[in-house]
Amino acid sequence: MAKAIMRQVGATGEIRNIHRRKGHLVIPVMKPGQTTTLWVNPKSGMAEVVQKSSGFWDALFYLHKSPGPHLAKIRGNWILTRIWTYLVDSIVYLVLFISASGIYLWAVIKAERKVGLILVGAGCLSFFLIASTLVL
Amino acid sequence: MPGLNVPKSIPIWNRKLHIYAGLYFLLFIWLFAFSGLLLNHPKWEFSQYWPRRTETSSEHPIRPPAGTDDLARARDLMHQLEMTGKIERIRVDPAEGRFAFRVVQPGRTVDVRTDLNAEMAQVKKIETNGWGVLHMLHQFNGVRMEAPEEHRDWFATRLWTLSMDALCVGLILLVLSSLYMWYQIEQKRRPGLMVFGAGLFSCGFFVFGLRWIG
Repeated sequence: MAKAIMRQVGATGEIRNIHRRKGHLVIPVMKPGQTTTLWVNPKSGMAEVVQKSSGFWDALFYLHKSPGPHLAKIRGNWILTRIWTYLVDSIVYLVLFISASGIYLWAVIKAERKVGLILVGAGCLSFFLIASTLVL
Repeated sequence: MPGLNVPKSIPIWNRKLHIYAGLYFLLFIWLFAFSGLLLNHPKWEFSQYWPRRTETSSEHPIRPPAGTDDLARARDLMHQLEMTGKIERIRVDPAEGRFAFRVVQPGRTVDVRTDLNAEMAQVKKIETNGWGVLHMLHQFNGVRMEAPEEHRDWFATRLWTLSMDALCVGLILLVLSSLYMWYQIEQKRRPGLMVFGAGLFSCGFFVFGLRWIG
């Protein structure tokens, strides 16, 4: 139903938590850097569209957290959110591949092995020290 | 760099910087990459941590907390209850003699509700498995977005956020040094430019372009 209303008012984006407020059906629709809220009055059949631009930094925050673990049942309801999800996944797999190939490339440089091993050890040690301070 | 009079040591040190920064931050990169993947896929069965959480409740006698402000009082109570972690959501009801707060650390959330008149504390602890710890390490920065007035009151969160900042700087250095190394290889410039341009375009499309799609 929310999608049908969005089509009628010409809104696009990722639908967030639909809720009821003051006799209205509230449909928040998100895009990076822009929030559109549809206030639908079921009695009158009218919808008020409130659009808010939130700028570059908000767009970055939104994309960084998108799609995220929340609203698991409805998230990815916009095709571009789904494309973003696939893109983010590919980037993570690429980062994992690049780091693995980087280890190989380092290992074949004999002159860098000792310093590299010391740095891997230092990185692992600092990681576990900091993480254990947080967790234990 | 071809065409420029660059000292020979610069490409050497650039490569060293690339290798050393990458190796030092290896585990940090893997942690954030893998936990980011888990956050992106909350339906993956193997990493479900919330349904497998353990909850325990207990009651403890306490002394009236000492301190000049609520945070100091919460710290004193934590000390009495032998807890560590980040304090948040302090709620005070002086009329009823109630003082409540939450202590958070990756994998553990503890709600403390005290009755200062009865000098008793009710402690409700929620603990998750290793997947929950991974999830939280990715997001744990000591400040909740919905409560910007809170500050980092725990040494460990300051240390963790400092290492996150260092990782960001390290990643920027890795990218810049690899750009320099790519540019040095003349025959790879054209395909590199095409791939780089495609990446910039798709990233720019999502950051700037989506709001104009009707």
